[in-house]
Amino acid sequence: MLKQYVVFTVNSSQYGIPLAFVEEFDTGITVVQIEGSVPEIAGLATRRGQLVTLLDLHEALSSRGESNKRAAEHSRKTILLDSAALTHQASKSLQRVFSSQIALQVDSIDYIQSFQTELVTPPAEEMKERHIDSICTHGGRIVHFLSIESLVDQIYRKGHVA
Amino acid sequence: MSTAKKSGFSIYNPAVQVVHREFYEEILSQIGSISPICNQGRSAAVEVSEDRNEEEPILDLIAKVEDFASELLRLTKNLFSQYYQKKEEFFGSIYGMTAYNKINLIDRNLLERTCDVRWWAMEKSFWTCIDSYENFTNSCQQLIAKLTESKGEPGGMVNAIVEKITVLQSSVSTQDAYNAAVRDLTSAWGSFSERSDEAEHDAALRHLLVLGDDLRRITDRACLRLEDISESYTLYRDLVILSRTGIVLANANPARRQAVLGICVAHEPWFNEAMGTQDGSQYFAQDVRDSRLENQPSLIFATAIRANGRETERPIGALGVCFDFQGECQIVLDEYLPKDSTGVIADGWYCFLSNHRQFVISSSDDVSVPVGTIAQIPRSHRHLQKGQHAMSSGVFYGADAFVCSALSDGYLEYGGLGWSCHIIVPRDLPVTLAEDQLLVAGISRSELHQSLILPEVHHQTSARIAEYKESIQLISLNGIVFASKLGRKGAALAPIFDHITKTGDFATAQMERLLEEMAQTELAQNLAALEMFSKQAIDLVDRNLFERAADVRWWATDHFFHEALMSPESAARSAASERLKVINNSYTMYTDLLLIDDRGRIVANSRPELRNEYRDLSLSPLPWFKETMRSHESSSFFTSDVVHSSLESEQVNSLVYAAGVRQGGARVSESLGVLATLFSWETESVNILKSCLQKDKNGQVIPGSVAFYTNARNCIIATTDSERFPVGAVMTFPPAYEGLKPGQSISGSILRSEQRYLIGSTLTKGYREYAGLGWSAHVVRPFSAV
Repeated sequence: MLKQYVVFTVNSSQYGIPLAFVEEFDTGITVVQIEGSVPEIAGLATRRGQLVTLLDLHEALSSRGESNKRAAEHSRKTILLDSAALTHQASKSLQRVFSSQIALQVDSIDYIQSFQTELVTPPAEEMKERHIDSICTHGGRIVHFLSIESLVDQIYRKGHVA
Repeated sequence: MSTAKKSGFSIYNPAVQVVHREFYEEILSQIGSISPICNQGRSAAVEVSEDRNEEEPILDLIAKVEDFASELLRLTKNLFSQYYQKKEEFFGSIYGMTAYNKINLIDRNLLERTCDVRWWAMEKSFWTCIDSYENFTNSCQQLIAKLTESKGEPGGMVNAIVEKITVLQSSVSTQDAYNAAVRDLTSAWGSFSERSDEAEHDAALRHLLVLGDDLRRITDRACLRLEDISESYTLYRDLVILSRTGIVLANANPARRQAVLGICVAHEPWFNEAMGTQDGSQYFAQDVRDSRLENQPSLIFATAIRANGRETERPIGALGVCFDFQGECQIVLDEYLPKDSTGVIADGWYCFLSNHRQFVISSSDDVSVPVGTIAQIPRSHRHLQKGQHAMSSGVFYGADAFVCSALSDGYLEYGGLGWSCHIIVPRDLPVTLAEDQLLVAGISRSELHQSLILPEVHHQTSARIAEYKESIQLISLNGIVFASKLGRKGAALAPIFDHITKTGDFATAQMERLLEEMAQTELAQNLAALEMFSKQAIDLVDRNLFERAADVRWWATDHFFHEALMSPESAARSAASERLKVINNSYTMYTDLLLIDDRGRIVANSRPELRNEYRDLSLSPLPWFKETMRSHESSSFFTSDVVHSSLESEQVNSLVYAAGVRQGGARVSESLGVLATLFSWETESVNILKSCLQKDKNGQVIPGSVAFYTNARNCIIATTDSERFPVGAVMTFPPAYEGLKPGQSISGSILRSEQRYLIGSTLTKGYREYAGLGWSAHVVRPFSAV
C-alpha cells in the first residue's frame, strides 16, 4: 500500500509527515515571538488573515550535544498543517489556546514521495522518545517519519506546564 | 580611461554571441509558454471547485508563477546586460592598457635613441672625419683660388684643372671615384705643370692629395666605427656623418654606401635642426617622413657634431641615425594579438600607430589599415590627453569592433612625438574555453563561483537563481498538495503544475549553465590577460637589457678607455673617468660605470665620490670579470644575475654588464681590461612591473595584484610587493611550468599566505642579440582566500 509523505530536513536529518496533514508550504514568513513561550514555539504569524502558531522543529527535534546547524531565518520553510486533519486532543487544544492554525518551521522541504507502507519499519526504542513513528530509506538516506500529533502534544503539555 | 557612452542592452547588439542570442530566445520562448498555461490553470481552478476558499490558493500560486516568470526574464536580461557591459569594460581595460604599454614600449625605445645619438656625436672618429673633410675642401678651394688668380697661365687649361679639382672634391666620399679623380687630375696636371713654372702650385697639389688620402683613411675609419655601432645596436638601418654643408661623409650601412655618400641633405629639416642645437645635450627627432637618406619613410634622430667632440663647442657637422622604425614597430604592433598556429594574426584584429596629424604611420596589416591613410578612429580618440587611453565600440575597418587607443606621454625626459597606438578588437569575440580550464588552473568549481574575479552581478544572480529554484519547488509541492486535496477533480491541475515545474526547472538550469559558462569565461579571460601582461613585462625588460648589452659593447671601444689602460699615467685615467661621467650623465639608468684593468682593479669610474670605496677592491675573482677577460671579440659581453656584490651598498642590487676593452678599439683582439656598467636594476625593473599590473576600467590597479621577476632558479629578483612576494623568496610554481620554452606564456593558480592567486607567466626569449638570462615575468591577482 502506498502513502504520500512530505519529506523535509531539520538539523541535517530528513523527516517525513503524511501529505494529508499538510495544507500548504510557504517561505519567508515574518514571525512575532511570544514572550515567555517555550523555545519549541517559534512565534506567531498571520496568513490570509488567520493567526498561525509556528513550531520550531529545530528546537523540538534537537537532542543535547547535537550540532546546531540550521538554515538562516529568511530561508527557513514553513509547513502549514491542515487543522481538519489533526485529530489528537492536544493538537486541538493547542489550536484553541492560540486560536490559530499550526505550522512547522523546517530547514528545507525536500520532496513529496509515496512510500510503500510495508517498507516502513519501526524505529529503535530511543527514537520513539523523539516522536519518530517509523523509518525508511530513500535515495540512500534515512527518512524519519514523525508522529506529528505526539510532537504537538508534547509541546502543548510543556507549554501548559510552563 | 574614457569609454563610449553605454546604451541599453539589446539582444540584437552585434556584440552578443550567437550562442547567447539562442539561449535568450529559448528562455524567452519557455517563459512565454507559461502565460497560456497559467490561464489554463485559472480555468481549471474554477472548473474543479466552486469553493472560493479552494480556488484562492490555486490562483495565488498561479499569480506567483507569473511573477516568477517575468522576474526570471528581467533577471536574464539584466545578466546579459551586465555580462556584456563587464566584457566591454574588461576588454577596454586590458587592450587600453596594452595599447598604452605598446606606445610606452616604443617611447622607451626612442628615449634610448635620443641618448645614443647625443653620445655617439662625441666620438673622435666622427669629428676628426669632419675636420679632415673641412681641411680637404678648404685646400681644394685654396688651390682653385690660386690657380684662377695666377696670371699668364693658359686660361683653358686652368679651367680644366679647376674642374678636375672640383670633381676630386666631390668624389672624395668613395674610394673608387676618388682614385679615378686623382688619376685624372694628376694626368692633366702633368701637362699643365710643364707649361707652368710655379712650384708653389705643385706643392699645393701634393698637400691636397695628402689631405685627400688622409680624408679617405679617416672616412673609412668613421665608416668602420659607424658599422661597429650598427653591429652593437642592430635596430638602426643607417647612421650618417654630415659635413657642415650637409654632405654625407660616412655611413654605417655598406649596402647603402654607394647611394648615400656624397649626397647633400642640407635642405632637410632634421639636418638644420641638428645644426641649430645649442649644446651636446640637445637633439632633434624628426617624425616619420621621406628623406634622401633612405628609399622608405625615415624616423631620424639627429644632433650636431661639435668641435673636438666637446659638448659646449660650436657645431661642425651633424650625426643622423635612421631608426628601423618600421621593423621595430612591426614587432611591437604584432605582439599581444591572438595568432593562429602559423603565427598569422586572427581575423578582425589590427594594431596601428598614428601620428599627431592622425595619419597611420605603422600598421599590423598594411592592406586593411594602410600606412599613410587617415586613421579611422572616433573623434574622441583623436583628442586624448598625454598618457590617456580610451575605448569605444562601433564599426571600424568594416567590422563591429572595439577600438582601444592610447596617446604617448613620452618616457622620462623624452617627450614623445604625439603618437597614438590603436588596437581593433572584434566585438563578437568568441572565447575558446579549454575543457579542463578549471583543472589547468587547479581551481574547484565552488571556489570559482565564490571568487573575487567574478563581478557582483554574477554572485547576485547566482543567489537569485537559487531562490527561484526554491520558489519553483514550493510552487510545485503546493500544486501537488492542492491537487491531492481536491481528490479526483484535482487531477486536471497536475499537468499544469507539472508543466510549470518543468519550465521553471529548465529556465533555472539554463541560467545556471550560463552562469557557469560566464564564470569560466571570466576565468579564461583573466588568465589570458595575466599571461599577456607577464609577456609585456618580460618584453619590456628584455628590450631594456638588450640596450644595456649594446651600450657596454660600444662604450668599450671608446679610445679614452683603451688609452687609459695602455697608459699608467693618471691623466689618461682622469680623462677616462671624465668620459664615463659624461656617458653616465646621458644614461641615467646606471648607478656607476667602471673601467677595470687586467688585474681586476678599478682604474676609472663615473662617480668620483665612490673612488675611495673602490681603492682596495679586486674584482678579479668575479665570474663576469674572468669571462670578459677571456673574450676576444668586441661583439661579446657578459652579465651577472641580480645579486648583491661588494660593488654596492647594502640596499642596492645592480645588474652588471661587462665587455672587454681592446687595443685601438679593435673588433678582435685580447682584452686589455673590462668596462663594466652597473644597471640600476631595482628602480627600472619595478617601474616596468608596475606598468604591467592588471587594472580595472578606471585604470586603478586591481587590489592585491602583484608583478615580479624570477631568475632561472625561481628566486624573486624584483617585485612590486616586498611583503607578500619579497626579493629572494624562492617560488613554487604549478607542475605545468616545468619545461616552459623561451617566449612561452602559461597561467594557472598558486597558493601563498593563505590566499589563492591567479598567475600568468612568461619565460624570456631575449630580444635580438640579447638571449636573456632565463628569467620569467609573473603577474598575479588575488582569486580567493583559502
